[in-house]
Amino acid sequence: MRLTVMLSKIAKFSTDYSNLPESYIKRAMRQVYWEAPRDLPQYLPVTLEKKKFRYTMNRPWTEEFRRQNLSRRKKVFVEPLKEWTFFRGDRVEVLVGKDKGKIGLVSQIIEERNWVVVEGLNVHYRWIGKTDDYPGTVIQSEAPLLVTNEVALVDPSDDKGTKVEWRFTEQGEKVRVSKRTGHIIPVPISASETIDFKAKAGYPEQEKDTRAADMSEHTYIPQSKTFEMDLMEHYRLE
Amino acid sequence: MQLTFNDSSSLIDFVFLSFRPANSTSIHMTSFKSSNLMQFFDDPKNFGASEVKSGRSWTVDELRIKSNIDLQKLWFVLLKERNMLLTMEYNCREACYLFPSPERIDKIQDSMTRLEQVIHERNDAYWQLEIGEEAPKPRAEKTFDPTDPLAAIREPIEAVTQVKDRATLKFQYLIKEKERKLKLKQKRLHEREAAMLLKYFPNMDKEALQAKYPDVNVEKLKFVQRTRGSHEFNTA
Repeated sequence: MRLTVMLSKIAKFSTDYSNLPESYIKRAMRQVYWEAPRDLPQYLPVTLEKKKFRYTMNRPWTEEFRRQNLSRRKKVFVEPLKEWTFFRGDRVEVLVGKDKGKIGLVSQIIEERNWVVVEGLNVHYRWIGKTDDYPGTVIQSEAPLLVTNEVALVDPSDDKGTKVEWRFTEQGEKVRVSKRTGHIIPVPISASETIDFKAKAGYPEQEKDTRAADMSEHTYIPQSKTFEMDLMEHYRLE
Repeated sequence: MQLTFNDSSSLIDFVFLSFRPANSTSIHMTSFKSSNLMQFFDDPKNFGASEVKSGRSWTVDELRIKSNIDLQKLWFVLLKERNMLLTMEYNCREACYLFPSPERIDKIQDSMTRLEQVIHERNDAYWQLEIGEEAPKPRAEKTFDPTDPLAAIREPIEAVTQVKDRATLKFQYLIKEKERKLKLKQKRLHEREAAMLLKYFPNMDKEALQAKYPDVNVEKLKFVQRTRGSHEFNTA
């Protein structure tokens, strides 16, 4: 029976928002300690590489993430959730900290750590660009909040935080329903936003991109031929 | 990435010209684009750029509606783009410049893999109908799984079921023992992880935990010492 190694997995929303192919993210994250030379048959083709990553506020394909993951750190235990209920642009109420009770919009989600970053809330201030003479500039940075107990989705009917459940409507659509009032909390439009576009229709086509009309043009007529036979007949090479 | 068919006519010339016999001296270069070798490099305005925007890769469904000729043209368009990107990557590394948007190479690779998959599907349909076998794959998939180094020879070993000689039986016994030990090690690791999760998150969803670790009996873990954490309800 084949056994798979427990590799750290990147969550779906991270890859969706970034619009990057999964193979690129894996390639960018790779930290290889040693790799056996593939052309020498006396070595088994092994690769000694980093397998357990600690997910941070920086996205996994960035240089900052790589620097944060160079040294080995204590393991982080992340509560497994059945379903993810938070999206970008959701109105949430902060339940802990100095901004307790305030409502804000979700600007970033880090599913690997069950984190949500709320815009302008739960902030701390730090100095950057500090040199010997110059004190540097102070910037505001939001700390992440745990999805399980530090943040709650806001019920649109009474503007207060509630516990939320995924349920099916009569039409068969899966929606988020507030447990307290029973109101449906719709998924915001900016949930499908990515780095490249705000909405799929608004994506500006680049020079080398195939136009939508060309892409959806149906040119295939199934025939009892292989690919090679079809090409040979087309180019009259029999 | 979704690439245009704009240069398909010049591509046809290129493909057709390559079939001419070698002793012919009349290969015309005028039908090619000017600065033929510069096609190996990106648009000069992208030199030194920090980012080059590009669309997503082709999906299998989008490729399935295209005819074989279109797929052939697309393959060469993708191939030329890949060569260009690999050239740029190499040169940027040599000159210590940032290579902008390296994910383009992966997008091209995904598109080419899916294109091959679609062609194989079509060939397979013909082979299954007319010949009764599966179509042969042009490139043998050589994947090595480090957790299962003997995967390549397991099939021939399992096929030899009639042989009951001492050496084969001993080898089969030892392989099973190795797998059993690995499986137990994984199970113990999962049990420990699940117990630690219960320790830190006593109110967590047990079904979610069971779904994450299907080989662990979450109900029995409650009685394990490790799951007892120091929380308000179990400390003085």
